[in-house]
Amino acid sequence: MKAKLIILTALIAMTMSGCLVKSLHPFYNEKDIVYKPELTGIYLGNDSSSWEIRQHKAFAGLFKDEKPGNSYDIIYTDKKATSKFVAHLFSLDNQLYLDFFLPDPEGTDLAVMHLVPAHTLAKVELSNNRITINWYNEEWLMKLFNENRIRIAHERVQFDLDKKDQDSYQVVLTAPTADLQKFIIKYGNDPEAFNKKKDSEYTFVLNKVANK
Amino acid sequence: MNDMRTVNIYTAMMKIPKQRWLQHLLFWLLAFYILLRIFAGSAGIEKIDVIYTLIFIATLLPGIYLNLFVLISRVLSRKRYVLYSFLLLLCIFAIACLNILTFSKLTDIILPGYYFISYYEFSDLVKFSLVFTGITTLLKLSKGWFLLMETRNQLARLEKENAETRLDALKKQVNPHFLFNSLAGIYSLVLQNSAKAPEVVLRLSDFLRYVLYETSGERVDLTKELSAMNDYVELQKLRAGKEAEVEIQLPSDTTGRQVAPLLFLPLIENCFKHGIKGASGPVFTKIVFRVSGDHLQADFENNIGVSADEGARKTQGIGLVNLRNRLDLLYPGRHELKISKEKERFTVNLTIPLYGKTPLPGN
Repeated sequence: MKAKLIILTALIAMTMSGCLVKSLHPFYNEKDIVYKPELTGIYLGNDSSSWEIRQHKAFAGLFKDEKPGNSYDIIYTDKKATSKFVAHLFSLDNQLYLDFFLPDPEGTDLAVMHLVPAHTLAKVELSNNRITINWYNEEWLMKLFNENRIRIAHERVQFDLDKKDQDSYQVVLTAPTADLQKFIIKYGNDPEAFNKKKDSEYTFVLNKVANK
Repeated sequence: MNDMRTVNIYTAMMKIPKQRWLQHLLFWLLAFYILLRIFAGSAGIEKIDVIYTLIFIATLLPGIYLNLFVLISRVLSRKRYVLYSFLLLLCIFAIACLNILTFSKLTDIILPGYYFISYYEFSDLVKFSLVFTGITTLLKLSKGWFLLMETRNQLARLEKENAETRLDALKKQVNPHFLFNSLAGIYSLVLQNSAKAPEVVLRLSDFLRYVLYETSGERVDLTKELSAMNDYVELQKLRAGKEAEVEIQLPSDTTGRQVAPLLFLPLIENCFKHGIKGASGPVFTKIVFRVSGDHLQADFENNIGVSADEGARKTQGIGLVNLRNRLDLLYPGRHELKISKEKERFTVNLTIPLYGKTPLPGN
């Protein structure tokens, strides 16, 4: 009942106030999944957050024939709370990405019933015991939508009912995975598509501190 | 009932603007509206949807017009159906490829700052392409069909008018004087209790029947045509008198040959009208028909009557002009008409091609 039927902004549990690009459909297909065992371990984020990456051994449930063990459990802990994500590492046009998904949102049953699981996307760079995560730039995408310069299936959803301005709306991508991938491949290298500012709250640099 | 319906549809079609570019503009405006409604998201029509739809239609245009202006008119119209199907299929695939290429690559060059992808898979684009080429092809063919119907109607009207005109003209070709003179000649023969009277009545009857009822077609049997001309000459002999030398030679091999009807009558009529009539010296008329291969040669020779008045000469001139016009229409570049006039002799030589040996149905 929980995750599959309901609405969710996947990263509510994170401290960010809903400014990540959310999609109803995953950004990857089964054939794009890449599993790197060396990625597992415990990392410390540049914002003092803690990241524990483990192999997700159960069936992730997105693809009929998907084999278990091809994804990661990511346990993220910041100053306030801890959340558990299922993440898929996948490659498109020789670039690695992480698709984040929150399968078990916390809260009362009634609250959980009001949520729909969403996918978020981050570009990933791997180097020696370091992972750099650059989230898909929602600000850039919103600007394009507001200026009518982008065409991809989406919905504008009002998240903050107390406000009437544009900031109270967020965009949820409703495009199928095929269209999402075409867009990422074509415009993924746009300098503004992914947050790259080192001081940005949407760029994480994780340094491995222990193997798990 | 069907014809009436066709006429109604045709009448309705004719209310559509006749300028071709306006018809095309209306079609594409309608297509634009429908596609825009399909492409627009749930939030309604955005500017980006308008731009996308315009570009989408632009990718259809080369293939659609290639089909309309080249494939249909140069391949399908020549009944090369297999080749047309193959080329149409290529055209449909090319439209789909152009659409993918445009939204994958070209839009970034044409419209920098706008973010498009190719939203449809190749198979979906083939379906789009199929629908548009199908609709435009059907429209083009139905338009051609309505034009064909219009042409047929016009032809039928023309044929009817032509037949009426021809009948009218043929009736007028039988000079009333000829009729009166023939009847007067017959009257004279009857008074004399001549044994020739029944034969002459029969000739006149045959000639009139032929002229009035058997010359409505484009071609007539040469044997019948020459037989009628012979009847005419024989009837004219009654009027010419015994002093006149009247001779007509007919070919023997005329079976199955065909000619246009009543071509020679004005020429024979002229022989008697301008030769025999009012002549003071020796009068003669010699008419010779010869079949030479696939051609018929007709020679007309007569003396020139001294009292031929101005009106008669004018009539002769008009008759010859009409004959020339008719020959030009019937045998363009394939006939020969020579007219020569000496001191006391007027000669006309006409050579025309004969139609095949197949007898006319019912003849």
